[in-house]
Amino acid sequence: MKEDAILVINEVSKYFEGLKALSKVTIEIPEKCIVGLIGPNGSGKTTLFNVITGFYPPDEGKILYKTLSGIFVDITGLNPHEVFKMGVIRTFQIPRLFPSLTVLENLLITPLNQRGESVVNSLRRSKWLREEEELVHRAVNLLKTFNRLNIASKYPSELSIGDIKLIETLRGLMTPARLYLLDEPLAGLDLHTARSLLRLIWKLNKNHGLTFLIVEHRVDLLMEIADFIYVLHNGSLLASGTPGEIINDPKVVRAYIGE
Amino acid sequence: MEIARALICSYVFSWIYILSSIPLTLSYRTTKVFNFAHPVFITYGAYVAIFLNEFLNKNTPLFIAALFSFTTGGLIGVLNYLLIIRPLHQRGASPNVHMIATMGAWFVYQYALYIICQVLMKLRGASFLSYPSVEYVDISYIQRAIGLNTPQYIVTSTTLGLVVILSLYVLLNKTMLGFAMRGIADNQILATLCGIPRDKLMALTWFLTGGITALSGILWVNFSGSTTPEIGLHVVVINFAAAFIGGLSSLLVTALASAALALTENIVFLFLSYHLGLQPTIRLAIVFGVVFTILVIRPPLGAGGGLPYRFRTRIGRKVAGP
Amino acid sequence: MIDVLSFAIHWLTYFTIYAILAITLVLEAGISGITNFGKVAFFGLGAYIGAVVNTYTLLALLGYDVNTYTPFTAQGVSVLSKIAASEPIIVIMIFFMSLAISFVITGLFGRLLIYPVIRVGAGFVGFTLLSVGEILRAIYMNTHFLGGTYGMFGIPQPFTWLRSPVLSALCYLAVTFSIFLSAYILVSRIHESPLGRVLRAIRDDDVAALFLGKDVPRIKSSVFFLTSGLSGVAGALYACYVGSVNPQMFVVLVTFNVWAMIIIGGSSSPMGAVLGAALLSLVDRLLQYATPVIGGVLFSADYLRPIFIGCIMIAILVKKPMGLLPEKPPKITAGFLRKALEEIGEVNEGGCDTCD
Repeated sequence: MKEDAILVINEVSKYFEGLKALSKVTIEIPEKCIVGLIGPNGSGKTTLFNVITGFYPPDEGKILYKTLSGIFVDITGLNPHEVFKMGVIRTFQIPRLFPSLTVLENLLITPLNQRGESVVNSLRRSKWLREEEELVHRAVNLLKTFNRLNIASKYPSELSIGDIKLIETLRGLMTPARLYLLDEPLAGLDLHTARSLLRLIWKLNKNHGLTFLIVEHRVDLLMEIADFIYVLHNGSLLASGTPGEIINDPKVVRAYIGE
Repeated sequence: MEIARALICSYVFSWIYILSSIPLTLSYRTTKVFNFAHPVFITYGAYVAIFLNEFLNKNTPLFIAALFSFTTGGLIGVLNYLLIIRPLHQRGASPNVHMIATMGAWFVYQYALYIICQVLMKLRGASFLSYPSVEYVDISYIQRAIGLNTPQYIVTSTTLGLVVILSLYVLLNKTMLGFAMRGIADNQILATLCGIPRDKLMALTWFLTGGITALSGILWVNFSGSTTPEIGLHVVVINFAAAFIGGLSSLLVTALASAALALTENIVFLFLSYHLGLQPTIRLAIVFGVVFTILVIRPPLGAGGGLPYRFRTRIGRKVAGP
Repeated sequence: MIDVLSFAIHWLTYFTIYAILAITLVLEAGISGITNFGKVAFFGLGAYIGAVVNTYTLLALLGYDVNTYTPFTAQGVSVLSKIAASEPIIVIMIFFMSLAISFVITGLFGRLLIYPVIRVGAGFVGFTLLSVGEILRAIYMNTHFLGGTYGMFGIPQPFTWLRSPVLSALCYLAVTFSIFLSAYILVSRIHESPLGRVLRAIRDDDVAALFLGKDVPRIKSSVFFLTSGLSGVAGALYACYVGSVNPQMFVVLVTFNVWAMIIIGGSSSPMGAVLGAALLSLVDRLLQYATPVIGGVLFSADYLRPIFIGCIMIAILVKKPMGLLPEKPPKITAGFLRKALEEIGEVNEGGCDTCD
């Protein structure tokens, strides 16, 4: 395996009632890169996310993850919250905002190890008030970047589809993680918002060295920021390379257009 | 001798549990409502037979009792659907709210039954709060005619059980109605788009659920020497357990689980009462022990909700570094 | 006049005990989404623990032979009432000890029970807890030392030695009221804190919460430790107030009552639960006084009550699902938001969207 990888997916397979959703997929995500994952519908992109984040364990293969100290650990079959705690954050393709929480509260959920989340500390306000104020500031600044301050105290049911999608992604970005798995973050966003989101992702990547794995159907936009692209087709890896190589790969074109 | 009695008990209880568990699974997989008013069907089914028995001067034929129980149970099911489940569904309420509302309905029916019993008690002078077993005259007649000496409840439960299971099998697997019901169980939105009338089908499902479950009540009064308005609660615990083992989707597994639970309950109880002298009230605990074990070892995640959470965790085993 | 006073004390005691149950149920069901259909299991377990500690320990401590002087025989009960009238210090000490023991044992019982169950769907949680309630009843009935079917009597009320019934009832009310108040403060603090936010998120979508790094089963079961422990304390308080426990006191109807309280009041607001508990316990107590007067011509009026309450409960769920007092977003976080927006200077543009 490469030394600069943060996540190594090694020959991972997943079956659903005999149907092969993933077959022997091997992918390496280099650290501090923006990696795109594309492929036609039903090619196993979301299944791969689900396997990485522990929604279900893979039937075969291993998933290795490099911790901060530079050691690779086996995270195959860990529970979703344990994967999250290791610094891998995912967003959902179909947004799963919490309907009875305001937008602000939805954003405040993510940061890990909040003081006020333990039963004992939640009873003593002085323990968590300061941290809460900082988090509110962080959330407000994030919303300000996208000119969405006016929706801070709205409920998800009052938002437009694009805003829901945006908040789903921003919720992931609320807390510093090392690897983000974004499932179609640009779907449903207008071009202006989509570009601001891409700019934010690019900034986080360049300034803070965060790694992104992005599933996206708007390939043109993705190509603008991605360093490397993997193409999945029918559950197996079809091609990989830099955006330039992928665009010119006849196999990829065939998979998308159909044979 | 004791063993033989326990086996006969298990046999009859198997039918009672099968007839009440299968509709529970059926109603859940079709309507996606966890119906906590399920015991109502059993209790009302039993009491319809009892009231008939009292008013026909202990000359109740099985088919009359079955007809009345089935209709009563079915109507209660439809009533629940129209008054509670459909309005909640239209409002878009969560599954938990459905569940809580059906629990509320359970108590309304339960205490309505107490009132009916008391009123009839004043009128007839017989106690309905603990009623002796009901004998069905048509079955006794047939038994005498062909010289069958087995206890009546064996004949009743076998006949009724087989008839119901076979008709249900035919209904679900050989008719358009059954296909529509299975279609709606798989994907409600798609089935509605295909032109399956959701409302009617749901009402029908609840009618069938209520009716079939009520039939288990008339088996119960035939077998048990003392029927109380609380029987529904006892039976429903086993129903939930069986439906749970069947993953809330497989009717066959539900039926097998019901029979297995009936057997476990009676055999283990025989053993416990022999060695420890425990009372019949402890039987529930035996069933529960079985269910709890399954819950820990192999929970039916997916059906009826559930978290992708595994207890066996191996926090990041280290792999040789590069 | 004295009658009104004693009725008020009687009602308030019932109200505070039931309000503890209702408030903890709000935290479990309304805020964290644990469909606890077995509330009575924890209430009953607490009551039985309270009964055992307040009788057996007391008798043993004062040197009586607990095999002869059992709390379900005439000698035992008469000795207990003698002790209650003459040994104030030790009785009160044992009483408070019994509350603590009920809290710990019931809480642990709840936590161990819920942990394996919590990851399966809400329906199974409801069913499991419901059957646990019934099984505990079966166990009480089968245990000779808990008095079997008839239960235990003569549990001393800790303030009997005051001689004046009104005064001792008032003292007892003070105890139940302060426990109720602390339970209320506890639940509303949790509701407003980041923990409350996590719990509400879990209630809305437990899978998404799990993917956001929340250890859902662990969080839920530690909350459940707290709530079932408090239900146990409510049970012990109830046992000492009524003076007896028996298996028939802890039927599923109790669970139903508590659920009705929180649904009428507003299932996810602590204040709503208090309101619901106050209303229903008042109706309950008034009916208890009134039943002998109305009399049962055809049937006993006791049966009408659950029917009536059940109908109201269903009507509220169908028509007005938030109950009398709907849930509001926590004030503290909203306050921080306003402050942050003012600093940026966006508050006037946002208009009323940003104020609450």
